[in-house]
Amino acid sequence: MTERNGENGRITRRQLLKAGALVGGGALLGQAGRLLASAQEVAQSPAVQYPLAQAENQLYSSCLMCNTGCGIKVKVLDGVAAKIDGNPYNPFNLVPHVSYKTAPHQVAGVDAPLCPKGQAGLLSVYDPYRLRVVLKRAGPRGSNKWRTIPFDQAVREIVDGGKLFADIGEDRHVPGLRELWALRDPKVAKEMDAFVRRIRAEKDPAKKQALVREFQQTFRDHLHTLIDPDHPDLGPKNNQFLYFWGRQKAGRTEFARRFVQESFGSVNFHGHTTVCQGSLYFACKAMSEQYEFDEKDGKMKWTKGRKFYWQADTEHSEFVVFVGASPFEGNYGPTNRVPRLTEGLATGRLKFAVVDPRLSKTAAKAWKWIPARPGTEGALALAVIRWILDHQRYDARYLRNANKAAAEEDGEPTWCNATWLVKLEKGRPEGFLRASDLGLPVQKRSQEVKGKRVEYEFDPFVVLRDGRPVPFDPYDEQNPVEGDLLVDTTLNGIRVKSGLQLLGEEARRHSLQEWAEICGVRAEDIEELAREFTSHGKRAAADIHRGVSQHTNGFYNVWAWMTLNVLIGNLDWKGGMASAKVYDPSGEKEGQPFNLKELHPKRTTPFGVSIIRHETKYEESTLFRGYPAKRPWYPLSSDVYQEIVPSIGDAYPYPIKIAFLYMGSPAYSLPAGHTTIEVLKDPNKLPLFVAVDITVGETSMYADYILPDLSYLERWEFQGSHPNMTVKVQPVRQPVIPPVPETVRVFGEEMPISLEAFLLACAERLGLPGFGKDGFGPGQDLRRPEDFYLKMVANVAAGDRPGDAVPDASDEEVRLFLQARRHLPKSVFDPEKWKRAVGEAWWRKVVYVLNRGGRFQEYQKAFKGEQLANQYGTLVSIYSEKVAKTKNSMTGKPFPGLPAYIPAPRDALDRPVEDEKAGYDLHLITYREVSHTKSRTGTNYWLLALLPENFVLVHRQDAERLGLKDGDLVRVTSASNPDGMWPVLDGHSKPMVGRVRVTEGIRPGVVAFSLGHGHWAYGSVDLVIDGKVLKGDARRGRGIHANAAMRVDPVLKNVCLSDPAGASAVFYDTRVKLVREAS
Amino acid sequence: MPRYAMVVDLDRCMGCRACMEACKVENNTPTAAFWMYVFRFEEGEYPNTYIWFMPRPCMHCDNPPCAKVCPVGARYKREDGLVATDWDRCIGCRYCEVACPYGVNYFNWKEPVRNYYLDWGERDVRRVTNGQTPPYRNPDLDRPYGEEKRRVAGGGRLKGVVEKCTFCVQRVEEGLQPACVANCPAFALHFGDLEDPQSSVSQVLGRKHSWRLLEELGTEPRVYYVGAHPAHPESRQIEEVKARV
Ligand code: SF4
Ligand code: SF4
Repeated sequence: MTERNGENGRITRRQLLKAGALVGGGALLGQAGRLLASAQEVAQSPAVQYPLAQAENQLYSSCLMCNTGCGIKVKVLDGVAAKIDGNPYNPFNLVPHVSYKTAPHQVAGVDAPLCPKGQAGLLSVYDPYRLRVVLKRAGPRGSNKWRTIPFDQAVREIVDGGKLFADIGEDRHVPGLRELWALRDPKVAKEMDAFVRRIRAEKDPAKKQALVREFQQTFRDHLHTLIDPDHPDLGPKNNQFLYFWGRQKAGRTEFARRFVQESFGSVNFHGHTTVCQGSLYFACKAMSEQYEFDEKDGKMKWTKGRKFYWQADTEHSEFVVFVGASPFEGNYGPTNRVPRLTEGLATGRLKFAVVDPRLSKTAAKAWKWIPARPGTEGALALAVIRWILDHQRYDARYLRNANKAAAEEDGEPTWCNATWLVKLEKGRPEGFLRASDLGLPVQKRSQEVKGKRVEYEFDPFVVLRDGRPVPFDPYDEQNPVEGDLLVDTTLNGIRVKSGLQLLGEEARRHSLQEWAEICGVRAEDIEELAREFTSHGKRAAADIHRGVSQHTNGFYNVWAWMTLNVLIGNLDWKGGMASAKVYDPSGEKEGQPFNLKELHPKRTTPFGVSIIRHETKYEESTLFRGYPAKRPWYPLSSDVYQEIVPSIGDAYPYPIKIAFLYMGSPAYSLPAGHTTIEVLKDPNKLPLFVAVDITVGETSMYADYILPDLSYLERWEFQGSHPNMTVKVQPVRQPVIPPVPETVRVFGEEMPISLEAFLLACAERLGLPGFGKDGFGPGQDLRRPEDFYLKMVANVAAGDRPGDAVPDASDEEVRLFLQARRHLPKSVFDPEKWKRAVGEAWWRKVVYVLNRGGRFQEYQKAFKGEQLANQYGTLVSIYSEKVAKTKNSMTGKPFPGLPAYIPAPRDALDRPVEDEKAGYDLHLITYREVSHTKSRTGTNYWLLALLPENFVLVHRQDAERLGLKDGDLVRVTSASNPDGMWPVLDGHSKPMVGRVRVTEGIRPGVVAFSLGHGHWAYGSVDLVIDGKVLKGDARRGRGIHANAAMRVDPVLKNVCLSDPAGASAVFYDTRVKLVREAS
Repeated sequence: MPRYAMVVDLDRCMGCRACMEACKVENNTPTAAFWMYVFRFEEGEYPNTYIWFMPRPCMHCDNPPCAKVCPVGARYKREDGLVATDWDRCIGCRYCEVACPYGVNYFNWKEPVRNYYLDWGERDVRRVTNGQTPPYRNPDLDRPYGEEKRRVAGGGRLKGVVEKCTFCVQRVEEGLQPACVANCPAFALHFGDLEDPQSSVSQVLGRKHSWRLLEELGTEPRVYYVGAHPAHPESRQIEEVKARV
């Protein structure tokens, strides 16, 4: 660039002017244009320099102060990150974002927005309480006594086991990884897995037993590798090694999965989904199930439901109802959603309603605030559904389409099963009516599976068309089939109803007035909401989040609200509901150079039921002994975070011997998280507990070892996207500053201590396949993190099909790439090694992607006329026979197969929990202050500057009744925590006390606190390390964290309340008391 | 010579305080000092409750009462409209602080430190940056600004001077937006030249009715507000940031 005028390469005014023309092709400057425009007006004083505006001092990456993961531009001076701003290439930060073709020099002067957390990130990274070396406990678990040990010693002890704590008087043998790596032959694992499938599929108990005996015979030489040969479906001893995490993004997920599942062979690899919005994910998973041939089972079934959800394309919506969602504070909001919403408000394009018991910052701008009673979200949705059905305000044309051909005829990208006929068994809707039920023919089909032809049957579904049954295939592209919407009839002696008919019956269980009373809102408000929702065609949306899903009835609340979107047929339409699309880094797409799963010399098949009993039916297991099960099974969900630790405690379905926790803090984050402490601090329940953390946190404080990790400015990840993001993206997180932890040597390579270094070192010591020399296959080593992650970057660069690759970086860009990394040590940036990881052919493309902080589709490509270009594009279910045929493992009763209102809260045995009768008269909820993210920001000094301590929000009426005023201290107590205490250590508890803020902005009877404060570790208390006291800083522990008041399940007693279907950990169904404390 | 001004769009502002944080990080302001401050207000009774937000930087008045009372000419109005403090002249008498009706001045009680929230000198802190200089300010701020070459920003400000929003003079002179403007996710803040009819400030002011804070005092602020509420007598300030961390 010649404009990079002369001396010192500083950005000139001319260049900024010029850049204007290159952003979005001239006319469409958008906000980037605005950010540049003023530059034209500003006089330049030729003598000055501003190093932060020079491309050579900027690196693009991805924020992780919250999981939105906005694009960031990190400005580095003297090797230290000096300022963080937003990445203008990234559509999370700018609308429209800067064209991907723009050279980095041209946007050096454009700082895109970031939320307060993002900007304050520096003080989370340069936090004096960060760990640089490995800690091993020097007292009982949780005693806060540590000693520093060499990395190699930690690896040796964790892999080899032994009497590891003899020096502090614990004379017990601690198992090492080697001991649990019992089944090592991938071939045997595969055969066992197939056999176990047969055992599970056998319904007859006697035959099941016979199969177990046959299994024992077949694998008699390998029975010692199993947890329990009498229950082969528990899987091998390898499963007694557990890896779980709080926040783990793509990249690290694949890396860790390679270790835990593909090489070590444990099934226990679990995330945190249910503590966020499990029921939102799993209700949408149920809605997105497809009826397809399954290769493993050799037949057709409901499968491939996506663990995902939809959000509104707020950039084009005319009306949105946000339910239990506050995009101005959380909800992937700032920086991503806010500009799209505020632009809509400012131009008059958009109005929105907010359903939330608290007057959130989003509700502050709402056309209507509906403070419904928490837990009645499903009732409200059904009320709206009722009104829509009563007034026929649904999109009948869309709903009638029963298959793909019919949808295509109407130009609809999706279709639903509103018209499909459902059979009633003893009055209860269960399976779909099939052609064979009516004596109509069944289709014979066949498919190639691994070189073999497999024959199978397809029994068509049926709709009624003008009173006549019509069989059809949902994916038929030739023969459009439409159905009658409301059907209640008998065919061939079988009572059938259409899905929409069944939905109407659920919605008509109550009158509008009754529904309004249940929700505690005015019926007129419901009517107005319903009218508005159905007055904008497809440019209206119901956008929901945690407030809907984190209840015992979350799954059905979510389903009801999402069904509203289906009723107006807004999926994949501009202004309607969108779903996330990313450039896939895995290498599984055609044209991508590195398929990381296949690049494994000895990949194994983990099998057996997981410790959280996910995606598996109790009835199919050999543990089935009638109802209730000892603990709940979760056939419709996965990543059931709250079940992990209590299941370890109960050793159900088997004991866990070694657990690795990565970037997670269940003790702090979970509702009733205090119950986990009891288990974690007991070495008899969990013999070896290793945490990977950047500091000593609320949960890692109970670990045996803490491995220091890299912060988000020091490591690799692929941030992915969010449902509201209509542009296809893949933001890349990459090292931008020198690592804080110490450097160690693994596989002969220098690298900072980190999750990767730890796993690589364990693999090296174990001799685990898939790592080290020839780790990817002959001649391809996996010795360094970049050997893995740069291949993923290359896959992103390649795109999702041949011909989709990014251009090669120019010489000038390669120079910039090297120059901007001049401060990084060889232990993380060695250009030669980096290049070797992807080869000459991909190197410049990798540079191109990294120079922009990821890959981002051009703005214009995200839309196709009135539709979104990145589509969901298939069948969506408002009725699910799969759900209807699944049983609650505690009661033996089947789950409803469609949206319904189930009053909350309920315990594990499905009985109401009625603590209000015991005088707990206030309903506790939580919220997000925009400047905080659950467990990891409450200790950031720049963020504490904005909110040194959080509040307990109390309505004025309640405050008057209780004699409370602003600033009073109150303790939060509940039926399961009547003392209002965090039992942190033996003999040391932290009371749940916070300051009252009296407000008119909350529903009377509801109290709230924001998440992120009230720490009892994370640098807020003294630690003893190597005999010396490291002083804690009390500023870091201020405010209240009242999760321990949340209701413990009265049946299970060591876990919070949970949604039996969607597995959500319940945040919003607890009744509490506020007890005044002396100030 | 440009005539700089800021326009704050209250219809867009959603009170996130990113601008407050951006200012703090960019300018390394002392604890409890917010050169940019965002008020949050609540009014009405449930369920007819409203909350609204009002960012408040220095008004950079055309008729600045602070400059008038400054006995040593440290506080002055620049030709481009910025109201600045010359650190070399300020004697810390705090007259300006008293004279300003908007409460935007902060007396500097302590020696400037590298980061007011942490003692970066401590070994524990330095070790996380591997002994490097930690981020405390933009190191190029310590230099003369404007035609008149006076030190009005940066690490040069001392104990015993009064400081306030500079409209990020270090950025503006380089052709960049003030940090608060660049970082606002709602695009509620506009900054630019009133002389230029194409500038976003001119455009917004041309389109929307605007008002200024305490207009009746004749201070002639360079900060304009558009949209929503002017402050309401029954508005209650909420979530006030006052405590020292
Ligand atoms: S919303 Fe804020 S904290 Fe979250 S990723 Fe974006 S900038 Fe970072
Ligand atoms: S950053 Fe923007 S939206 Fe947030 S408080 Fe400041 S002006 Fe308002």
